[in-house]
Amino acid sequence: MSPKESKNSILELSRQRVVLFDGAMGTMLFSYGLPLGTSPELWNLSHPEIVLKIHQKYIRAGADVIQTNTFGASSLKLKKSGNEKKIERLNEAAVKIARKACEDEKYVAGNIGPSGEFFEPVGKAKYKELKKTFSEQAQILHSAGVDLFSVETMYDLREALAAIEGVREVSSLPLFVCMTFEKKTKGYFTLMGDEVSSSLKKLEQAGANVVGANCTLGSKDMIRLASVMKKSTKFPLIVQPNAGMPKLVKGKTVYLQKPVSFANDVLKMIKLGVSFTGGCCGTTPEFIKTVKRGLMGLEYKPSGLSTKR
Amino acid sequence: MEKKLKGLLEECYRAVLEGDKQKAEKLATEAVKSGYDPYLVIEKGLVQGIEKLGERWEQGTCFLPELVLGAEAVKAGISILQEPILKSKARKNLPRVIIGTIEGDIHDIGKTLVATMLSANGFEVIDLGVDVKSDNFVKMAKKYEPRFLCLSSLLTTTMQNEIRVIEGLRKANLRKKLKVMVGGAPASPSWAKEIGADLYAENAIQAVKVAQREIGHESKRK
Repeated sequence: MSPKESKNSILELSRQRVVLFDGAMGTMLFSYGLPLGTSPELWNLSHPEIVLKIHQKYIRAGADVIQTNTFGASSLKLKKSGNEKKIERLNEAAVKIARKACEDEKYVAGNIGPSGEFFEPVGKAKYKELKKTFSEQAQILHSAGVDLFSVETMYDLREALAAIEGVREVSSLPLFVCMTFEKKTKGYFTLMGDEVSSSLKKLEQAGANVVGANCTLGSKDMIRLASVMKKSTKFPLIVQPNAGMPKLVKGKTVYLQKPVSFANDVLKMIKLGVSFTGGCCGTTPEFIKTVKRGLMGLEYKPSGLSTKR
Repeated sequence: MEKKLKGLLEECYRAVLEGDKQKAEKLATEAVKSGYDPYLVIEKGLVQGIEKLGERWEQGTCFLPELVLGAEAVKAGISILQEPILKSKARKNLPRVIIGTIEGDIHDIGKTLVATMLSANGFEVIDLGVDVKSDNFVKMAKKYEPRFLCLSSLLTTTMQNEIRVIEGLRKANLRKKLKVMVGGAPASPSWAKEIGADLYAENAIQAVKVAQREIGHESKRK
């Protein structure tokens, strides 16, 4: 599948039906014994069979898109654990594993998370430096053959824009961008105070094809956010909520939300006009499978797909 | 209260709200020169500002950048106001706090905010930084005998290291000599209870309130 064909097809596909992303990677890796404090990306090289198995489980659960295990595989982020020299190998291996797990009609999304650096006054990051780190990672992912990009968990609009610009320097593939919003008494805001409507507009202008939210909020809290987002944009929307809030039971992290309640919330968001969905922290193949079942029973009305790109 | 002092306190409050470090420094220097009570300037000026920012933070009308700038203005002001206090013999015995982010977790901001807020509110804070080994918390608690030990965790995967700190304190016979406070996104009152911590705080503002309340209780008991 050439990049150009796939570009059209995932956005095309969403005109016909809701497109389902996968669920959590980290949660699954921990359940397979990833030790505390180890960068999950390192397992692309040391335990590729486990990363492959997780992708396959999500595919079997009904996901249309699987995201590479590269959330923290930008050079700035890898530097924190002293692994920045492995950037090419980690990203290339991740795409190879994801591609292996995929059947022909499925999509591999090159996953990109925040750099971990902050702009002033919180930190000392420079816009150019962030753009460069994202563009470097995107170039490796693009060359390795991803079908689309999924930029996630952005808590600072400026960093999200740097990521979009970075990706757009090296690729014209479909670009999904999720910010992460907190619920405050006066509405939904990122950690840096970016509000929903203007953030989404800027993401669109910068070159994202699909915009939305992931992480921080459980599925229940994300319903209201989805309706705010729907009112804010004509672009197609993506939501990837957490499986409620984490609890620690006997030294193990557990998410107590049941797949059925998660899926019900997700279906409510689909009815609000969300085109793409999946899961973030705490979600497992069981969650994705349950959402898939729900989607199959749902009459789908395409909405919000922009003709701009 | 004389009019000039009142004006200065108001200006300190504004400097923090505006996140204006230079202004806070200038005002603090002026206060020292005029011989005003430094604690009064901290409490009724700078801290009022950071408390207001805290309120706004909870509502969603002020965010991390404003809070960081405000906290820096407070810190800058305090360091100047503290000079005469440190020199004088009548230095107050500030309640001591040891704080750090738990082993395996390198999240810095939340912990630093709590440290700054406590320090701005009249606590002596020893900040051990991030990824602090459980043994090190115990070692430092033994050395400095703090009233509070604050543990920050932002990851559900590493927060169980807090259990090891509490066990370590118990083994070193320190457990009853201090209050353990936990915080960070995944922590909760039930988590605090589960691991045998004394206190939980949802954010930096709450951490100050909880610690102040605790000190209030203690002094009442005495």
